[in-house]
Amino acid sequence: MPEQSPSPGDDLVQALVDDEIRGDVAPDEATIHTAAVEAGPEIERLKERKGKGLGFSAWLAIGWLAMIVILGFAAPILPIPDPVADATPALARQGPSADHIMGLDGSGRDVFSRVIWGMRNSLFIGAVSVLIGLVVGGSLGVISGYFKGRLGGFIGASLDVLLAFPPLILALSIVTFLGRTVPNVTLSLAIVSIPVLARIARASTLSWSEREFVLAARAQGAKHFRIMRREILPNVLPAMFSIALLGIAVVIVAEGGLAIIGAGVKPDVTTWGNIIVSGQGDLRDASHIVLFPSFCIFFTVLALNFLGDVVRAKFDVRESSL
Amino acid sequence: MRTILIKLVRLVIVVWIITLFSFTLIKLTGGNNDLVSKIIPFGSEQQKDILREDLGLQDPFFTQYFRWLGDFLTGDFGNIYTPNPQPVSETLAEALPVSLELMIYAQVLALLIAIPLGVATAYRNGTKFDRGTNTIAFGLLALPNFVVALLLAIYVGAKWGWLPTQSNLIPFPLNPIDNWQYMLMPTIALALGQIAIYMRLLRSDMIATLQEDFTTTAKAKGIPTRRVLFRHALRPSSLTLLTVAGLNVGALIGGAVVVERIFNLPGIGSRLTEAILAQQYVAVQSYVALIAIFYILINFFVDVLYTVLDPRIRHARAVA
Amino acid sequence: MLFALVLVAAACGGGSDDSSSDGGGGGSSEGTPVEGGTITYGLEGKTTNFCIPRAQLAISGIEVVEAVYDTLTRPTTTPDKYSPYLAKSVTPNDDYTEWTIVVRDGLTFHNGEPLNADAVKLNIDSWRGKGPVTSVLLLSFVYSNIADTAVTAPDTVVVKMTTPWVAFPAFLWTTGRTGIAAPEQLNSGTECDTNMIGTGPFKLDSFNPATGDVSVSKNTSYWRKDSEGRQLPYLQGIDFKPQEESSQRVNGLQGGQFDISHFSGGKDLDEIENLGNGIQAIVEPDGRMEISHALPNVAKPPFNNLDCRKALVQGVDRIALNQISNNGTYRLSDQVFDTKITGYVDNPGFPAFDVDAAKDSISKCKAANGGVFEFDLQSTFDQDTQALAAETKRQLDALGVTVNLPSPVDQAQIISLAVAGNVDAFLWRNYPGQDPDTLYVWFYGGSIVNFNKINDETINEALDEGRTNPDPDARKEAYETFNKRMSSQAYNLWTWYTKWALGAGPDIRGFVGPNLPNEAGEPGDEEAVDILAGYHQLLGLWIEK
Repeated sequence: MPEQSPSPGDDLVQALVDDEIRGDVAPDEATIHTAAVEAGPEIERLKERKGKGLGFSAWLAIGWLAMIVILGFAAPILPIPDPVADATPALARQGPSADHIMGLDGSGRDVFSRVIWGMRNSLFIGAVSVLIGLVVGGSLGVISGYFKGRLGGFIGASLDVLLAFPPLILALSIVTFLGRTVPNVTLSLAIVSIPVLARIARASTLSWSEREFVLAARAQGAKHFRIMRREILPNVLPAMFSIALLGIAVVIVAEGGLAIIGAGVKPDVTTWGNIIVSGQGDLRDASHIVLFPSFCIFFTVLALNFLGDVVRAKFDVRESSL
Repeated sequence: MRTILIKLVRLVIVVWIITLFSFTLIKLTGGNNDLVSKIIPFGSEQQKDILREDLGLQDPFFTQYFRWLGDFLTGDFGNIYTPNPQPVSETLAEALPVSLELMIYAQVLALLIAIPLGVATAYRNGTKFDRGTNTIAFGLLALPNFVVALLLAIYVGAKWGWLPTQSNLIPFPLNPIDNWQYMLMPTIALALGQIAIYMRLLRSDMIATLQEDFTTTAKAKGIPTRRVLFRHALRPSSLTLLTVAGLNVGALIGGAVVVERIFNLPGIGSRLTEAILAQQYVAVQSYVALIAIFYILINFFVDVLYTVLDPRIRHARAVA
Repeated sequence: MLFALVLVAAACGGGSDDSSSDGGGGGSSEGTPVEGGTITYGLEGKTTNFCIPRAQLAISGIEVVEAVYDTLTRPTTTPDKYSPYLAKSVTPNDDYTEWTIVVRDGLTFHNGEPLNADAVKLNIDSWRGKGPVTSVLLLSFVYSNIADTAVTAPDTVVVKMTTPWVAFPAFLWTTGRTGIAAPEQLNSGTECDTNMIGTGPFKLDSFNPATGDVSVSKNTSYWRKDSEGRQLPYLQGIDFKPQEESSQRVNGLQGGQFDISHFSGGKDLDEIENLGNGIQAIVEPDGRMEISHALPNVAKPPFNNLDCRKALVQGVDRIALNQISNNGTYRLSDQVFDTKITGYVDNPGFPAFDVDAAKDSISKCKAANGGVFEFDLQSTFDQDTQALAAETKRQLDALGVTVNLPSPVDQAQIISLAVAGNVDAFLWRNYPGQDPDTLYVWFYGGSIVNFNKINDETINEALDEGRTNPDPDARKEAYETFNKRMSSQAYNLWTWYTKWALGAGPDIRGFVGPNLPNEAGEPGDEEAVDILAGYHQLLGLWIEK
């Protein structure tokens, strides 16, 4: 495929976010969303306080995320009822009380316990799929950005095909046809995140590979792989990290969406999405079933978005003149 | 012109690959007999044989593919077997307008609110108003559309009973007021996240534009602020905003599927969800392919439109 | 943040309005019926095929049939008694081996074809599988007892049975399924599925098999009038719209999209009674209810083994299930009959819920099955049934039984799977309170619709006795025997008597409708049934302005 002249959509993203992000085609939904998260006054304020340590909000976000990660990890050993096997049907749909601080769901299961196990499973799906996206997408992106030409173009084109699907549709089709298991849902969301992360890695690589130290290393006869690993990757990673945080947030929400349309994990596994789906019939009299996991999703996504901004602000290295 | 042709070629290739991918999906379910009995689980060997014929399961892969492609291109999107075969194309005719209506309403509502807010916050960059609005927007970015939909359904719908949550959707031409009644909550649910995105992107773009020479010049000339903002500064930014809005259709599509499910709107999203739950793989395959192609076509048109309209590009070309 | 406020509201509030519930059924004290108006009816399921001989009609389909067709007989307020409806009379010979059906004069189908003996014979023959309709015929077993149908006069059909058939009139209603269709419909091949033509109070305007939507409008030349001589039906039309999620039907009532809908869950009934704004709840009276249950396939392992079946019954706490589905408000059942039905007994020998006894049965079951007790529990799509299946699994898992939950399917698919014997167990609801002979088809060995695949000598004999012996005491004894055998053999896991309710907008009246027609065709002394397992009449409905 011949190299493309920069598409107009890039001007937009370029103007709004860092110069780091440069693609060959119009931005996709995920990039737009990312740009929106990182295009506000929050990042400007974060950049202003550079060197003064993280602010209160950042610590709040870190605190929340740390808490849910720890709770999620610790779920099996916490003194909470089993999210599937323990139920008191006699108390079904009861609201929050002293014994059950988040109340019970329609089958008499403790909502608090389910929310914690939901943390565990939803976070797992989020983290693993984004991790796969980072590793696979990042590698593909760096390779295609470094080598440019035919190989780069081919990889770029293949990823564009994946990006041609609306993300939720792509994910649901993979899960529907492969089966509604945790690995399949994780895989489908990973596949959805790969092209996005690859794109960013590629754009970043494209700019970094023109730098003097890279050219110097090439002149010295260093092997390509070594250069990519040593010179380029460390500079690409910080930007990727910020995007990855946002990516986890997107995946957590996507899991909820998949659950609602019947393409999520089967109900015997507790995820935030599944809790919400099970409570949909009780919105009128037992809305707490839906509200608590929703609140958790909201706050988690908020925290991740904010931390993404923090990381971006901290690692903001100006792409100034060569 | 050349760029457009290149894009067209890429479009065709991508569409072709999408059809190939969609077609392959059904192979993932594993086992031909399994497949047929999942789609129509009950008796009548006769019906099962018809389905096997339709799917052409005995033939080699590419024969099956081209057959499927041929059907697809001539508007035969297969059937839903529940239990009698109903052509998918029939369901489309009813469901498509509903989904389109929802997405258009959401897009329009989002732009209607985002544009003034984007301009205002850009103009008042740094003030409390700017910070407050953006904090809310930041919060909205974190609020999934299904959460908004559920909140609306719980409070506005179920507990307070202000708006109906069960859809008996009356098409717009027949009765606009009733139509809006049913569409209001789904539209809001879908639009809220978009409002935040558009507003923030517009603001960012406008801040840059407001610093450029031609705007400061305009102000120096004594042109009233509002005119400067909306006539001069907004123009270049609006083009990019509309591009983003066009390219963001993917988010709208995904969101529409979920919101339709929650509010029970009879659109493509609901049909797709039903097909998924009922293991109607043939129908799911067709819906997925159609939605993807629709999305790509929109992207293509927006991309081309921008290439044609963007003054910077045209100027660059003229100079070159 | 906004969210926090919302959460506080949820935590503190939660309850619904305490408006007075407008219960009250239909009745003569409702006022003067007004003509006109169209109502929207929310159905719990989608029917895609209305070719009666081969249709798989559940309550949703039955209500549509009720609008478009008439049946030869109708149930009365006495469970064993059926009144002639479209027929002028239905009379047996001395030993019940022959039934003579005399059709009313001068009636026509919606397409103008006359209702005569030939049309009736065509219908009955079609049900038996001896007519122009082809393909899988669920009704054919029901009528396999018929040897011959003969037209002896323009308005008379004589039906000869192979054995005496005492309760034959019940099968001219068949829980509302066997509407009399026009010969044109029956003769139209595959079109029979969609081409609904009957003699009923409403005629078909449109039917969309994809969505299940049906629209009907008034049959202006309907043959019935009310007791004041007013032409029936009162309504101008009905729009039937399927909505499988009961919570969505409740929403529909609240928002006014549904003027009427039906509900079989206690949770939904509670919600409707608390909706306020004049929304009415019309509730089925006790005594003739159908029964919710888990239905095992006893033809193959594990449930071909009595210990495994007993384990199921002893191990599942129905009180818990009742709480989940009905807020605990429904009466638990331990047998196949409700209290007003012939054959009801106080102690049918149904194994009690007893975890220790269950464990014992489980080990015996496993011993007989190579150390394994595993089965699939199939459910339909609605959240409620899925929750019940999940809870059943949870309880049995704790006892060491492996329960798998396959993907849900819709009602029609479950029937198909059951007919083919491709299920282990599924959650179901059936056996509306009528003449007990109507249970013959569900439990007689070899019947297509014997979903349990039971082939039990005691049951077969008892059912045959009840079918052929006209002596009421003998019948009672036979059905009691059948009942006790069903329960003691744990052929079904009975859960509760399903109380159906209609939810209706504040201006809907006429739920019971006029009395059943006498020989002259006018409303006589026999009262119509109000709600029977969800079935109710439509022709008496009207909208108060």
